[in-house]
Amino acid sequence: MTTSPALPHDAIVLQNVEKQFGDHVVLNNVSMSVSSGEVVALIGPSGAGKSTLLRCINLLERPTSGSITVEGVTIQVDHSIKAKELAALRSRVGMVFQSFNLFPHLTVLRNISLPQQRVLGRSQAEAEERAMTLLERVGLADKAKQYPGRCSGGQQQRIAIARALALDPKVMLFDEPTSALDPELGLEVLAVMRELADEGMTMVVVTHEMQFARDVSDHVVVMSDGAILEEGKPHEIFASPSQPRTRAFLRAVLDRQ
Amino acid sequence: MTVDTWQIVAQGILGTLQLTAVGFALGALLGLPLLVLRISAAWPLRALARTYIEVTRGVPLIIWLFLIYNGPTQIDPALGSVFTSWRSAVLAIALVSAAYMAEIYRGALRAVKQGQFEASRALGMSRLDTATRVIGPQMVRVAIPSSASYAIGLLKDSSLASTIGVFEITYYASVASSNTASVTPFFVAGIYYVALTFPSAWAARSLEGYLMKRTA
Repeated sequence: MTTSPALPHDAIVLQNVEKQFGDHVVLNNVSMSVSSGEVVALIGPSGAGKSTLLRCINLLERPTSGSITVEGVTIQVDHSIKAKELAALRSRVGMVFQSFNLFPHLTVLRNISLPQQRVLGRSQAEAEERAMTLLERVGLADKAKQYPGRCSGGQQQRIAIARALALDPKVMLFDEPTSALDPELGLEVLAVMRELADEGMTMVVVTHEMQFARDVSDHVVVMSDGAILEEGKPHEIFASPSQPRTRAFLRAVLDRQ
Repeated sequence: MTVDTWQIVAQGILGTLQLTAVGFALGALLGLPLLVLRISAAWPLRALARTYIEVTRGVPLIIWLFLIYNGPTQIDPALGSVFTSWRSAVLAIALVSAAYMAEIYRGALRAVKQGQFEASRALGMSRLDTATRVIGPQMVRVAIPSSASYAIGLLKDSSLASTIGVFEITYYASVASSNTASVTPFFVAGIYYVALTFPSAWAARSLEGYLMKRTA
């Protein structure tokens, strides 16, 4: 498959994705697509299935049925998934977690260089050069030799973003990237994400940061009870949500902010 | 207490150290495949590992020593030259240690946060890389204190090997004691054991401290 970076195409397509834990339906027949270069904010009350949906995109969570396409790699989950397909899919997707999940036993530099060497086969020199470029970009070049435990939460999250970007993903997934951070530390992370969005990275962001969803995203998806309640342009969703459930949710979060 | 007694019992120090070190090292190695079976997705493998662990730990070391040392010769007396005192003792200690170490590893594995596995998977690292470069090193840090106290316990338990004639501290103490009809050699042996455990405990603490300082 050939794709021209200039023309928007479907970067992510989810079709009829279902996820059940026993009797409990977490995702109920969810379909959505994300164009290349688009920033999608996934919002909704907790327990709505936002994180589960996000984790299905790189198959950290395996859906019960449905299909997932990321940048031309399609996986039908009812079939057995080949390790090769899974690797191909994951190589296209970078992920940032709420709890950062940096490797505590490795220096900041090594956190970013090791995956490049092991996954992409880059040389150590090459991987470290790329790591330093990214660390400079997130403003943390001086932390390269430190261990993650010595860094603040906001710094750790920026390092985690650099680690994911080092593998040259086509798509970045963010699972509540600022929820574990103090508000002012969250801001430095949001600034990095805003820059990424401006550069045209395809992003799916599960977030409770309504300001970010409103200002940075191109598209807002509201989830509730394992299904998509409504979706649209941020100004539509925030100004005139069509669903009463969305209105109630937005009122609750916006009142708090 | 003569200089002689100290010297006689001291002949066993090397034996005690060798037996403990080799037995423990083999056990620590064998504990790894045992851990893999113990946490396998296939229940028969899990059950097998669990049975091994429970049975091995449930039977006292001295019984294993007798069974391994004397058992084979009952089948074929020629096996006596294969299962010498030393080899039988190493084998018994290794087999029992494997069971204990597998459980220590399992505890260490559970102490590694779920997010570490997820991050490694999300980055596309292979299972082997995840195990050896991400999870393993973190397990080592957690496993050191309990492994060290197990090894120190083993240093003392290795005295049981004197019963099948391994030339270690307690063996020489017993011989010296029966030759002189005195309890002094056992007193000396006790001092040697304490003298050996102190540096081991200290080394384990320093190693732990060093690793913690690097990550904290």
